[in-house]
Amino acid sequence: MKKGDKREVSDKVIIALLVVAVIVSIFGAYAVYDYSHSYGGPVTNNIVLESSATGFVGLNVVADEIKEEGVEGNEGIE
Amino acid sequence: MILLVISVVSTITGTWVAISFMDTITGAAVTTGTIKLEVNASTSCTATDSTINLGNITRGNYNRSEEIDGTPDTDFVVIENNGNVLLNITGYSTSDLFDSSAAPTQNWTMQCNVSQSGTCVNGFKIINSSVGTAETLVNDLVTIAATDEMNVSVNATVPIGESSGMKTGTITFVCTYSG
Repeated sequence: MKKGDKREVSDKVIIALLVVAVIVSIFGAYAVYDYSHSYGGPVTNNIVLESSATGFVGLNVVADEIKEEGVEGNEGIE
Repeated sequence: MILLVISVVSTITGTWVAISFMDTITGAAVTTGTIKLEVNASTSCTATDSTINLGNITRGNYNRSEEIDGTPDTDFVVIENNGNVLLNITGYSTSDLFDSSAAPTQNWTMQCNVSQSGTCVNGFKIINSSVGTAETLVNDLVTIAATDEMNVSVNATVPIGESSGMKTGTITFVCTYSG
């Protein structure tokens, strides 16, 4: 090869460079897309619709009052 | 060939610059921005006073929260709205207060005595035994601290055939988002 002649580059090298460029471009586009969706994403409404509380009731059932009055009119009965 | 190399290098360099700048631009803006957020609805209620003691009752007689043992008294269950939405509150019980009278029974009733806000449903009602038939006590109880409580009153009449001794009952209060 004479001095000053242009070097020939094989088609394989050109194709390889193009493939690398395409892969890097796709990767970059995905990275930007992923980053842009990591902020301000959709708001999820985790609404809790129901809650509960507990109450207790206590009482004491007591015996009835015993009536000790005698029966009137029974005097003299044998 | 030179143009091809330049285009490939430019593509790779541009991508690298775009990615490397993504984490460095936050906080750099000096212009006015609008922040939009949504606070999720939260339904929450608690019993700040969960116990009513109706004292001693003889068979066939009754006590209620507003009047215990024949004298004016007050002993209520107090329910507070701890969430950030209006609440409707209902009540039911899956257990029997009396051995001789299975729920639901006229021997065990409840009402809303008073509420600091919303619509208090007065009038004693039978305490039903399932959540599906729970009686409404208050509608639209608000969340503001000074006005977020309501009092539940209970009326118990001891059946004639009831045995002596302590009786206890549990009421579940369901607090639902009223919109």
